Amino acid sequence: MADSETGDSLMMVSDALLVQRFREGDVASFEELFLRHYDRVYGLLYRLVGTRHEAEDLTQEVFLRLYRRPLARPDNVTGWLYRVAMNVGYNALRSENRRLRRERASAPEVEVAPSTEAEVTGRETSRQVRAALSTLPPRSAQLLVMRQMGFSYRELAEIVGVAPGSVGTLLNRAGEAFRKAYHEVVGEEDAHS
Amino acid sequence: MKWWEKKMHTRDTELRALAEGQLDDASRERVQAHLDGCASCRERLERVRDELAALDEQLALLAPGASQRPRAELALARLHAQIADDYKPLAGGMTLRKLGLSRNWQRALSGLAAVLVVAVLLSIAPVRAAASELLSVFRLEQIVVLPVSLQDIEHLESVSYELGDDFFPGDWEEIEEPGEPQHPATVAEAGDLAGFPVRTPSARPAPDEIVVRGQMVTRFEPDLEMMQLLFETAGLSPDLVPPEIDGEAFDLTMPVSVVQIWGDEEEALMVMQMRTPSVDFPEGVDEDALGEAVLQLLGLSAEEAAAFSATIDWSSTLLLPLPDDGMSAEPVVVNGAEGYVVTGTPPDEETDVVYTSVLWQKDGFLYVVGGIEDTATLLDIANSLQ
Repeated sequence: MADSETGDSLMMVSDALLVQRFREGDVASFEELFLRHYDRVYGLLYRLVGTRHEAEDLTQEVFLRLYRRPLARPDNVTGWLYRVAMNVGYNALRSENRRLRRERASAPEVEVAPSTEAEVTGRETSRQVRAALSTLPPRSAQLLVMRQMGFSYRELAEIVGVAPGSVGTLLNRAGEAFRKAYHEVVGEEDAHS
Repeated sequence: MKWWEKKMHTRDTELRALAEGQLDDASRERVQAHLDGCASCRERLERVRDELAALDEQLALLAPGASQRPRAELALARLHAQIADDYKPLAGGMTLRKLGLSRNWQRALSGLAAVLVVAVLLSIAPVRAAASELLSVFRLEQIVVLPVSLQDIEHLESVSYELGDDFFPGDWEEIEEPGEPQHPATVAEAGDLAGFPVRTPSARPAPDEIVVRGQMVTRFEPDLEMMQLLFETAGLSPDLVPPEIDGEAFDLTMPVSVVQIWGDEEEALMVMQMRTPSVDFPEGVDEDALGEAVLQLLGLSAEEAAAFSATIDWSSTLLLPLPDDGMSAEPVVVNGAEGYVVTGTPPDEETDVVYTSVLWQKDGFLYVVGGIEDTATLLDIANSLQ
């Protein structure tokens, strides 16, 4: 869960200050930003791509971008970080889905290590959840996943850049779209098997 | 609270926010007061709760387990290692960082390492992102330099920012890997490895280092949706992207290359020779339409793009987008062939060093001579290759 302090304005100021100091050459400020946000950026990317290796790579990519070109106007560092994370994660997720579709069309899946039935079902379901998420507009998927991670409505509003009052409505819509997409994914796969 | 507020049924959004503990105090009181007296809204609240619980259960499956959580401190160390890596010089003193390449592009372009001097031109990530990969898939027998204004570059930078570094408008894979680069001791050995006679400047001592890289074939499969997203983000019509390219395979072949190096780091002189790169074009793709679309991405108007495109045979042209700020390109004749001299300090770089490269193609080979020497010296070296 997100801790309740991360979204308040004091923290935002302090993120902005860290970026500013880093721009002036203070690497320790960058490190502090990194340690502050790493777990959650990684958490978001892991949820999107589903493997540790890839999530680590993508998270590194997000922070490298910040390192290479620290924001000139760092008034919403958190928003920037998660928006970039969402974009890179989403691209990875979509190309992964394309790859899977291609593979499924050409070859049957091979189970490498024996697993319990529960493990197989869990993996299967999370893959379907991921596939359904990838069909939503990125912002909808981002809101659903980050809400589940424990971000408050207020934090979400700031991150995706909408009025706080709109978050509930957007989440509702996203939830509806997700339910529909999930049923379609499951239905489609049942039809194929 | 007004009496009518108590009577009014609660919206789904509010029920959701209540169930999630996200209503502010005033709203919560109001909604609660209504719920106390409204069985149908209480029922709806239960339904919302059930839906939320189901959603939460599904999404919770995606969370990393204990063994899937890296330690942030270790990740930070890894990041530092990567940053250090970026600054590690490659042959000829160029670094991947200097080329401004993101990791994905680095991978995609790794076989091009031999043409790093050419790549200096493409040092601005978005220019390269927008153009080099797309355009380098055309057969590269001609070189045409296209000046791009700083303003257009800034625009493309904002596009690339928006889409993320890892954005790639399709899939690519290496279908033939170049293998480890080899370091023969002499020019003659390099020729044996490469399978062609290697030309070397007559008035120079033997090179300090020779690098032979194997052939690499990269397959690029554009994704129509991603291409359209790229265009849309750049403020262009997605209809510019020829739909028939979707999922088609463009195979780019970068043949064996030999790089001879004198001196080191930023002051190195490099001579690169490789067979002309080529591309296998999918049937039925409208090259002109694709070329014009990419030209517009680089900031040309529709009319300019059409006019420019009309002068180019896309199937045989390598287009080098060149920032018009601080870099310049002049056509020259080298060894009886037409080529270019490109001079300048890439605007993105911290260095003040002015690089000059002479590029030309002759008898099925692409040559690049580059370094910090002045144009006359480099042209002499280029003309002395034997």
